[in-house]
Amino acid sequence: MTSQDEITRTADRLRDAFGAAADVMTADTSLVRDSDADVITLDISPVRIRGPKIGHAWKWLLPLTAAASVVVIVLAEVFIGHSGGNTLATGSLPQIYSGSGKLHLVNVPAPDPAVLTSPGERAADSRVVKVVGNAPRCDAAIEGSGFVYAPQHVITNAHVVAGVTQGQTVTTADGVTRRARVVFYDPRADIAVLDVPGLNLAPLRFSTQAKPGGDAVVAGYPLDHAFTAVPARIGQVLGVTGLDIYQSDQVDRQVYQVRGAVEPGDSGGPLLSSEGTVDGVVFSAAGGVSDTAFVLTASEVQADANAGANATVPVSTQGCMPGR
Amino acid sequence: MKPTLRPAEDLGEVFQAHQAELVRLAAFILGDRGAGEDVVQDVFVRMHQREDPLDGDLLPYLRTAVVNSCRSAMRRRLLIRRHAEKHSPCPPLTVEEAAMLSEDRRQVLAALAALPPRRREVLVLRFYLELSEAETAAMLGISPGTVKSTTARGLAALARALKETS
Repeated sequence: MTSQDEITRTADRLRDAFGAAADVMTADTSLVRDSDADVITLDISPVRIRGPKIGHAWKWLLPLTAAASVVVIVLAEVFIGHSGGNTLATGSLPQIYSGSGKLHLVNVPAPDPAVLTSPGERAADSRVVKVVGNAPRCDAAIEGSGFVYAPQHVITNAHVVAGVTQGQTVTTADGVTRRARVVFYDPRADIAVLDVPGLNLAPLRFSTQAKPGGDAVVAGYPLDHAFTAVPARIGQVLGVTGLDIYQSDQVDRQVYQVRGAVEPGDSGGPLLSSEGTVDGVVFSAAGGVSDTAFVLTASEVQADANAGANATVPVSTQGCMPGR
Repeated sequence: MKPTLRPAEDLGEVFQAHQAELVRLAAFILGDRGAGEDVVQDVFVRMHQREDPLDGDLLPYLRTAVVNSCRSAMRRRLLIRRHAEKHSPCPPLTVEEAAMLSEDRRQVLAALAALPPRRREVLVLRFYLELSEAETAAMLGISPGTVKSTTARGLAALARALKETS
């Protein structure tokens, strides 16, 4: 039993410890100032990682922190209890920053839902697919989105297929699932291409005509849901510096800052224009900044898209992302 | 006349004025210095993104935003804390800062960091920010009665934990 005296004394000790700690805690001046960010954490969660079962998955998650002992790795939220009790986690998060000074995010007006009714965009929806694979070494299934961009070829993010060695499939909006093989893999740009025999959908076309302020649609399979399209608006084009998906090499990328509700599972899906062309490949939400996502621009992914369009030889998907 | 914040314009000033306290607040609540800094950074980035100007006294608003962000960071924290504990004898502080505190105070802060989140939140608001029971209740969206009982249980748990370590 704890006496009232002890309680009072504990409260005093706590006040004293707070006071002393506050005195020695130096303010970190590297935080945001002047309303620009030095660094934006990428919420890579547009991919979902699904552990095989909940108990097992927890065992797998906790040791992650041991691996994170050197670099500060920010971990994404862990979703529990979704889709039949699976544990869904979203691995460690890479960061991006501006090569020169601050990364300035602009205020983007809210998207216009009317863009969802444009005939061009509607026609494009059926070409957006769900990408799923198993990465036994990481004890996880990975899900994301992708789209048909060349005959029988689907483009997605490298982080959607990283480490996958089994059961790589592509599912179309009508629910048909086909086997797929990764035939192009670029962890630097975060782009991968899948060869999907029998997938006879007309390819979507890339467009480099997107302008800041323009209407767009984020199309994909977020959170294990059926096909979902949400309105978005392009804010600006940014040149950002970050790390490749294995967090080993520095990479410069051109991205759109986009306002829209991007959720786990949207990674690799297209940012569609109202005409139904592809402005870019959705690859990340901005951690801690609501309703903000980053999209690799069509020009940024063009070279990889060309390189993978006719490829048919399977390539390695290398390792899982760090912390997976 | 209540102060008004126009995004971007006054943000730098507001940040300068309150950053240190907000980082401490988040670090104490999360029991993790680095996670606390992340939370405060996120709050400022979000404020910058606001389209509508903020009206009213800013400090309570900022504190509430930080407390709320700490809650959503809790799930991540489950994973982060083990990492932090390995390095600092006193999780809310960096290793260097912890070295400047007496052993006794380090024990108090470490015991606090080991409490369940809700108790920790209440104790930080009551004894770091020195908020009243009513103010704490309003900020956390719980009843003053719950604040009172949680404070009592939190202090008792802290006393027990300190008895074990000393």
